[in-house]
Amino acid sequence: MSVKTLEIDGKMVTGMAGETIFSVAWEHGIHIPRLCHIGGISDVGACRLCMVEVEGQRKLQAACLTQIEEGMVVRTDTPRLKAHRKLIVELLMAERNHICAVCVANGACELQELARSMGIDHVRLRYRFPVFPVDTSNERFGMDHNRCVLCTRCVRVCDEVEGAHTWDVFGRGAGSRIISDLGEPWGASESCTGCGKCVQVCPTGALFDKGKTVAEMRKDRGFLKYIVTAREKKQWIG
Amino acid sequence: MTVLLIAIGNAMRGDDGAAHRVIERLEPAPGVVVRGELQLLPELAPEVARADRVVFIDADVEADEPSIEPLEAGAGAGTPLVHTITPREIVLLAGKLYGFTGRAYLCRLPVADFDRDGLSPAAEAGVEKAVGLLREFIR
Amino acid sequence: MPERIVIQPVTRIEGHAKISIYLDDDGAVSSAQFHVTEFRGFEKLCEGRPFHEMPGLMSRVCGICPVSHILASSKACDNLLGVEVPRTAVQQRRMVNLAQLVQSHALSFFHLSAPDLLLGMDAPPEKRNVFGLVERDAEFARRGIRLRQFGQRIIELVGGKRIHPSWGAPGGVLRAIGEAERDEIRGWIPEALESAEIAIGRLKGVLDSMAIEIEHLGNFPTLFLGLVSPEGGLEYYDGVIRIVDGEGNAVAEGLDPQRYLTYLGEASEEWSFMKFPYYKPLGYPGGKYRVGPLARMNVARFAGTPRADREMHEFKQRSQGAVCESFHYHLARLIEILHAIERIEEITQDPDLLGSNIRARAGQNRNEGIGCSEAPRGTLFHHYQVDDNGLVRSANLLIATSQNNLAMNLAVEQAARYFVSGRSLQEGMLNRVEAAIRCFDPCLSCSTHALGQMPLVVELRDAGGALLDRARRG
Repeated sequence: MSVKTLEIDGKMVTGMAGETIFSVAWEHGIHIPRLCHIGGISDVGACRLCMVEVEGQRKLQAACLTQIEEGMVVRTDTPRLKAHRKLIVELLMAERNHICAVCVANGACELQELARSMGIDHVRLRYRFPVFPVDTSNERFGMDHNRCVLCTRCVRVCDEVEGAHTWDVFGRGAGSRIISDLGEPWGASESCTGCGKCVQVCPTGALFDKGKTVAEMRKDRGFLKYIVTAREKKQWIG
Repeated sequence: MTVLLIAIGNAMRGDDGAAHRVIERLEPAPGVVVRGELQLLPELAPEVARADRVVFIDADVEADEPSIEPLEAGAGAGTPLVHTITPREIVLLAGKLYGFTGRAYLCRLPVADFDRDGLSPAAEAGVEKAVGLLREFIR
Repeated sequence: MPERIVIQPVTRIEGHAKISIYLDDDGAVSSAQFHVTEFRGFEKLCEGRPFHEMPGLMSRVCGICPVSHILASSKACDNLLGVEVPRTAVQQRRMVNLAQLVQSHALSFFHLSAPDLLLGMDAPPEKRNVFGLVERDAEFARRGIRLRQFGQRIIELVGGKRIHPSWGAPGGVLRAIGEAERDEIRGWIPEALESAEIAIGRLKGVLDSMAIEIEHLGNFPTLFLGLVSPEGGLEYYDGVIRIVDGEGNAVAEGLDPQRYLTYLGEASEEWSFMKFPYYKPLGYPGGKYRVGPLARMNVARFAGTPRADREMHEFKQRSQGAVCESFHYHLARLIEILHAIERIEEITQDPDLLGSNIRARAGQNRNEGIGCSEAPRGTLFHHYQVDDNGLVRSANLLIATSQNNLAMNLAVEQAARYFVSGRSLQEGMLNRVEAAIRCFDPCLSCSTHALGQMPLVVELRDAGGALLDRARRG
């Protein structure tokens, strides 16, 4: 495999051919924000938070989907990118009902942390206040669509790691919604194995352990690395 | 030199939360301590007494423009309904009970509407100006 | 046509409550109303939410006494789980509830009522305030602040946060506490006890000079309702409901708070957003009752702690039957502070306080849960109906200030009849009418707090309904 050398934020870095800008950047301590990416499952470029500028290209590129190339010059943190990311987080906040103060994941939410790190102290857009249901028909877990950002981590981990493909996306645009099986209540799903991987990878309080109260839900997102490494390398290391 | 900034108001009541927006916007600075309060309670007095300068930031239905003015210690008219005391009273308690010798200021913010989510454009503009005034003040 | 005097907000920006005083054809006060124009709608917000979130959500009802709502809510959720809460969690909950009571009552007495009480209702307004109080006795004022800090500190040490602690949970609490926290709490006790007794002594010393206020600021027989322990002592966390009448006779004993709907009804009036609860067997409005410190002194036969028992015994001598003077809410509040500090000390001596078994775990076992506890202002009920998946179908909160609503209206009317005369509002009249409300320590802290706002407006109208006078009170 060939090694490629490129420049990210003025720093010369190297990576293997086939690696993405995102992973090479993180390996070199350049932490590009993300919401839909999580190590161990495939990338889909859904959240658009990892957009970067690549010299010579007019369009912004999703770092999680763009492979590195020799001599590439990448910028991950320009004012333009910052403004874009801030707007994306504000759009997410306005799109559903994210009320941190009374959320089970308060203090352990990736969306909340993104907003905090970007200094988002208010949302410039009008909140939509959609009416979404909460599905607590599963015996152990709950799904609160009000807090879902449609990152589809749950869909991918269920399909790629657990192999059940219980989750999928229904509808279009702002009306999109994660469904279990063909839209049955989660508790009635025949494909769900009850493994809970989706709950752990969910970046917000949308998927949660039933019985958790406000600010009590904590997620273990490290487990995925163990499972994937074990499967690929037959070793139990993180 | 320590400066204590105290934002007062109910952030769930539209423009009443303007003061909180002001302190969120201000960059952290050495020697500047920031507090957000729903309303003022007497136990704030000892904390005020430890500061060299204190600025109370509050929405004011009578303010047209944001301003920072010196604030004298004094007693406010009591109300039987809202369990709060006034900035002047806090300064009084801090001085008389805890030896506060610093200077107190009041930063008043214009407001237009309490029946909304978030701030009205008028309050937003006031917040912007107040942040500028306070940056100058802290320096 | 009766005349009307109104104490009211004219627009939203001006305030959140009003007092209307109606005059008859002869210009004498015929009736008065205390209107609350705030509407919160918290019960609606809960619908469709998982019940496990209720304690955290309910803590947001109030920035002043979140603990009370966390507790009643957690208890309603315990009920939905159908579990017995571990003793460690119960002791924590008890302690935090008492701490909340101390800090709330201390604010009411030392900062809101003491100027009137200790400087005299007729002291000039420019003197009758915190300034006058501090001038007279700075150490006393400092003690008031220290008592509040004592209560706040316990909430912070146990709950982990001062304002909206995420601490109470269905089945127990979220955090265990250690020796360091317990010892710090113990360290506060001697001074706190001393402060409570000094305050009681001060208030008792001026009561003789307040005979007219005691007589006319809400002095009438009503029922009194509150929790008592199975033995009939003061109880704030658990227990059974006892109701006594104005003569002090038991009207109902050992009522199960779980069955509150069978004996408590809620009426509404179009002129107020606040409901009017009443005792069902006596109908509306005959079944009016009072809750809170005065009610608890009347329904409990003893305190159960030595210092508070001495004071409570003396307190009960103030009347042949129940103590019916709303003015004595003030003294009742101070006795409760004393009792709460004694109880907190007892709890710190219980080794179980430091246990690590803090939460009973279970799935949902019921579809209806009711939690009841004593909040600083009176008995608080949280009632949730939940579907089979644990989502709240409906929530009902029965709060102290609304249970005192009928009595507050009567107290305002009585004060107005005695103190209001003529066709204009004078400072002395307004102060007395407000003092009648202040006895009950009602709270509208969830309103706005901007400078220049007038939370209370007072209007005076003639027999034809024309406005005679209006006063805005900040």
